[in-house]
Amino acid sequence: MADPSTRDELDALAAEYVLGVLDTDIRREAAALIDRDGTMRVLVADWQQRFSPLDAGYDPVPAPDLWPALDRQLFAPGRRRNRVFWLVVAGLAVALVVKVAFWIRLLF
Amino acid sequence: MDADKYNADKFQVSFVSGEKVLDHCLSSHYIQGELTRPIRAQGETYQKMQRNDDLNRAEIVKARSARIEALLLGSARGGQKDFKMLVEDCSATIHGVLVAMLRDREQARDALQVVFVRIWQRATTYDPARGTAEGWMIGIARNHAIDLLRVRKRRAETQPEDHHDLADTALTAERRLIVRDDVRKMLDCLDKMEPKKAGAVRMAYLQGLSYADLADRTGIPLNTVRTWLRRGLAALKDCVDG
Repeated sequence: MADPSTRDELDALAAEYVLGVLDTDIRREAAALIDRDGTMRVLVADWQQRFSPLDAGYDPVPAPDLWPALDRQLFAPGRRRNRVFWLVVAGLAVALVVKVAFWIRLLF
Repeated sequence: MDADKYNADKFQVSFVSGEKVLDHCLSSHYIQGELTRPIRAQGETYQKMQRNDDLNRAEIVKARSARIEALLLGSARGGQKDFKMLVEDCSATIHGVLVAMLRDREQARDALQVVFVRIWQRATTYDPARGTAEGWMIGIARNHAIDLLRVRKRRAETQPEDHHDLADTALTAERRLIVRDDVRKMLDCLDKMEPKKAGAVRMAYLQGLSYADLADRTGIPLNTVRTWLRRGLAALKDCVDG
């Protein structure tokens, strides 16, 4: 990769990155640069803004219903954890009630 | 903002995306009698009507944009219902991006799920000051598609691809009517460029072409295509920013 030491070079790289023309290796280096260099991040954001009008060139294509799969992947595990948590709480509560009832019977 | 909200609620039925839905929204207007368009309107009257149509389209685009932004910001706050609506509203748009770039329905379907998972995970990094919510999501989809394309390229270096004409990706005049000022400016700047260069920029952006692909399709040698395109990009920047 050309040494992106000058601002012009960095800017050209940002344009190429957003446009998507770089091959895997240079693209990976550019991505690493974005992670560690604030200037590069700003240049990339500017190019994203500049190119965004081209988004109108994408035609929508009806998609299959994605929600069941997304829900399974993102939210179902959390719900399961939640259910287990409340089952444990309920179990402890029942145990406590039984124990208290037992004490009361001992007292009277 | 209130007006946007009103419009957004009103049109929430089918914010799938793009022109078709805009047409749908406009026609439902006609049905409700909110717009009156004489069948044989002519001359000035017709032009005025035409302008009103453009204004309405602009309003609808604005309303949709405001709704999507609200849903994405809601998702960033952990709102699963907002995210669900965001997925419903934007699936077709994002799917369109992935199909256009990957040209493989099955891979596009898998990529669609990956992209929405990323959108959910990175929603907190979206900054409304730096562009539209939809543009931000399309950016995530494009990046993922480009990564997939480059990996694919490595595996099958010489797989034949259907070649598309440079003109294929030119935006239609119809589209130009509804677009914002900055959009119009960018498109004008592309028009001022050498057609072959402008076509290369459009194709690279919309289809995720690499320098090697561009060299193939333009007939420009691989070792000069980079300099050739970079000069175009610098000129484009001067035009858009200037």
